[in-house]
Amino acid sequence: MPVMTESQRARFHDVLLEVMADRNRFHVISSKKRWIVLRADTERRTGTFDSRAEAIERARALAMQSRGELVIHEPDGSVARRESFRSAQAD
Amino acid sequence: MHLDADGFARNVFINCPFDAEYLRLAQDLIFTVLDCGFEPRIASERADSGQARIEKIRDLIRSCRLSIHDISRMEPLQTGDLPRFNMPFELGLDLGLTTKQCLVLEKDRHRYQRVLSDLSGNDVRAHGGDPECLVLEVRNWLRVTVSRKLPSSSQIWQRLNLFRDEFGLTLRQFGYSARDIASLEMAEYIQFVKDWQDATRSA
Repeated sequence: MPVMTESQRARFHDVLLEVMADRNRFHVISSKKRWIVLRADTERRTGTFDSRAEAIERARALAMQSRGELVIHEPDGSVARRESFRSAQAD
Repeated sequence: MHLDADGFARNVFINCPFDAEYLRLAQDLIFTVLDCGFEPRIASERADSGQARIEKIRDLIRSCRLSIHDISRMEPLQTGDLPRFNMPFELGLDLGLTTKQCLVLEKDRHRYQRVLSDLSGNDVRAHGGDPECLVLEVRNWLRVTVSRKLPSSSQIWQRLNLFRDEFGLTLRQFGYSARDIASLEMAEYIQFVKDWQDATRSA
């Protein structure tokens, strides 16, 4: 496992703030046997769906519209995959 | 041991497995405690080899108003090994030393009755190995220990998902793999969660 140096530890906070500064991301999260779309910058739900596929479709549309990112989570909370729409075309 | 009243009131002694399979749940448990405004205290935080481990544990137990004991993984890690007794031992130590409020977590609500029937009548809650359920049980128990409002378990679960993403994005810039992140030392993980919480408040 990499060991963070003192200078890296000092930089960690700055890097974290950079990541947090751009929370134009829409997360698909499992919740109580359904799937929700969560907007990261407001930490608010924008929809609840019975299927993961429906939630992904909705989140992808929102991410494309706002030129942000789609982040899809596994049921345990880990990140399964992400799709970026930050440039003009999707990755 | 000198301890201010506010520190004692917020401290939660965490007794849980730290094997590779449970580690993700351990991180989720600690995140939940932190997101509810409490301070998790774990035996591994005191690495001073000058003190016997049991003394460290006793000191920690006495410094905490609350305790959470997860005894869901007492079974041997490998076939032929002995069961792991540390978690129920520390639970027994806690119950013997203090009369504090104590949450016992199990995988299955009734499994403990076959091996620790002395706990019958105590508040034992099951999480089934499911992280969202773990968050719910821990949050709901913490809620009855304080008079202030706590975030809902749904809010905490959602924030946990956001944290996993943003924290992962950040650490990968320092060369950490997903596996590295999943096996962080608890003290370091706790500090990272606090850093993230501070960043969300200032964002």
